[in-house]
Amino acid sequence: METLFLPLVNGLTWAMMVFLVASGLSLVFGVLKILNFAHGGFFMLGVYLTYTFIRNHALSPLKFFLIVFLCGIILAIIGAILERLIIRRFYQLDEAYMLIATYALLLVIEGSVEGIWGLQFLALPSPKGLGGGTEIFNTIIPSYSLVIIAAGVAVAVLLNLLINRSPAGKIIRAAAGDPDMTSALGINVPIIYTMIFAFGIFLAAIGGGIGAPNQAITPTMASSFIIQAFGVVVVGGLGNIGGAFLAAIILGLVDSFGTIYLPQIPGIAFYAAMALILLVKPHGLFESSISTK
Amino acid sequence: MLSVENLEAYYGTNYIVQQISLHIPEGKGVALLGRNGAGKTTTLKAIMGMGPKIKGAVNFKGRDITNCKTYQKARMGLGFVPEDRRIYQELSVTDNLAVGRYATAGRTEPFAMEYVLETFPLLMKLRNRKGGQLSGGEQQMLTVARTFMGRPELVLMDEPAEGLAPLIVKELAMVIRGFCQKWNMAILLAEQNLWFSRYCTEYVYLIDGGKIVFKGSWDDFDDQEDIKRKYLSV
Ligand SMILES: Nc1ncnc2c1ncn2[C@@H]1O[C@H](COP(=O)(O)OP(=O)(O)OP(=O)(O)O)[C@@H](O)[C@H]1O
Ligand SMILES: [Mg+2]
Repeated sequence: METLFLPLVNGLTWAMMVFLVASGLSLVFGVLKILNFAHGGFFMLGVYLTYTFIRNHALSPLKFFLIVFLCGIILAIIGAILERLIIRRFYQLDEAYMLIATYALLLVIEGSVEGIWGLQFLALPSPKGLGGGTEIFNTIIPSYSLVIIAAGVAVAVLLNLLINRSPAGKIIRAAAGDPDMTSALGINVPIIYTMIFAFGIFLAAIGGGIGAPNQAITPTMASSFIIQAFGVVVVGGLGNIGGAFLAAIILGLVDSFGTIYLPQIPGIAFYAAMALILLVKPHGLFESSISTK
Repeated sequence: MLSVENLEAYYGTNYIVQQISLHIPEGKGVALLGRNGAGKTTTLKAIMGMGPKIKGAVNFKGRDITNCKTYQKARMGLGFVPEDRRIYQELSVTDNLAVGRYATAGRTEPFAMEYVLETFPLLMKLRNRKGGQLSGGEQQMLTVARTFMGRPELVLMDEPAEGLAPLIVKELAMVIRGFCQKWNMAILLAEQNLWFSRYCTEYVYLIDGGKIVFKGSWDDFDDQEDIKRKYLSV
């Protein structure tokens, strides 16, 4: 039991960390039909901005998460401005231009982070009381892992309620599926696009802030996370947030147990599982659930 | 209510709608007849601002709306029912209708969902069914009902009778006419079905090759047997 429980928790922690990044990516793809490379950059900005407010203070959990939320809002506003100034110019063009534009944005973010915060590794203390271990099933597991898992599950549940149950969700799905018809019904579709883009950035940023105490903070973290998040989004089915959630769990567990049983080749299991799933199901596990044509 | 002056519409360099003028009085029905490819859909889309590049002037309720965005026109009370129905496949019938509500924003209150469902009895039984699981006729009812939800003061309707069984055509005509009269709603109806058009409207415009070739009342229209033969496939 103990030998299986720790890798299970580790796998789920990794899965929820990646899901926090992938959820916004998938939402933005589902509605705007764009792949936003800069998404990982905003995740990283969430980390660094949270670090800047907190530094080496061990805050109460309430204060800590309030600051994370605030950083999410600040970056979402910046995201909204970027959507209006840059991103929307590319909607009508070939997808390749959008990829290049958002990749350029990622490079700008990476450069800015290096310029402002430097190349050295930084670390953020966990909130008070969440830094130690918790004993479950005779196994000591890091308490903060449970926070990350809870945050991932909470985001998945709330996003599902927002998209599938709320009145706003109906408009979002309508605007995603048929923007022209939806405009003709009196809905300001460009504003919805701006809001969804900004909300995606918000999710990336709070994912960064929540995960920050669990990470080595470096300017290269954006690239490594965005690759894994892309993998999860593709395996889950582009634009399907529930799919991304399941894909993150599957790939996280495969990776975690793969490292135990195949310690000679750590990190390979994730890519092997991803390739295998995509060979069998090239469009991912599920269809897009946001669009409604 | 709506007046269109010298409207031109282009797709790329293709000159489709060529200098047409239309006048739709408040609460009245106007039919826009013409054979396939005559330019009916392009005219409606040009008025609504959905696709073609336009020149000319469009006035609605005394305001120049030529350069307004599509959603602003909808909120002013200009409804649009597309020829290809454009039902949200994954949303239920009631959710499709709910999306139609927002056209009333800042202008008036939307109709109660129950009232609209009673007006379209066919939809009442299907209220929880997904849009993509409706028949063609049911989808046609739904697309009309969805636009009605937003209480348009003028509705642009593109060939609602196309491809429907005669019985459904009759039911749809009665529902549309009844609704328009009850709520003093004007309609610009692009159609090829003469019976349907006559039932729902007072005036006729005939379009061919992107130009208006006849305008008048239905009596005027009936007096001119030759134009029917020349411009319509009847
Ligand atoms: N998106 C487009 N791009 C280029 N040309 C177009 C486009 N849409 C329509 N046209 C052309 O414009 C002309 C008028 O088309 P339109 O769809 O307005 O006709 P219509 O009267 O609605 O015909 P129907 O009764 O078949 O629906 C046609 O010659 C058509 O080929
Ligand atoms: Mg047409």
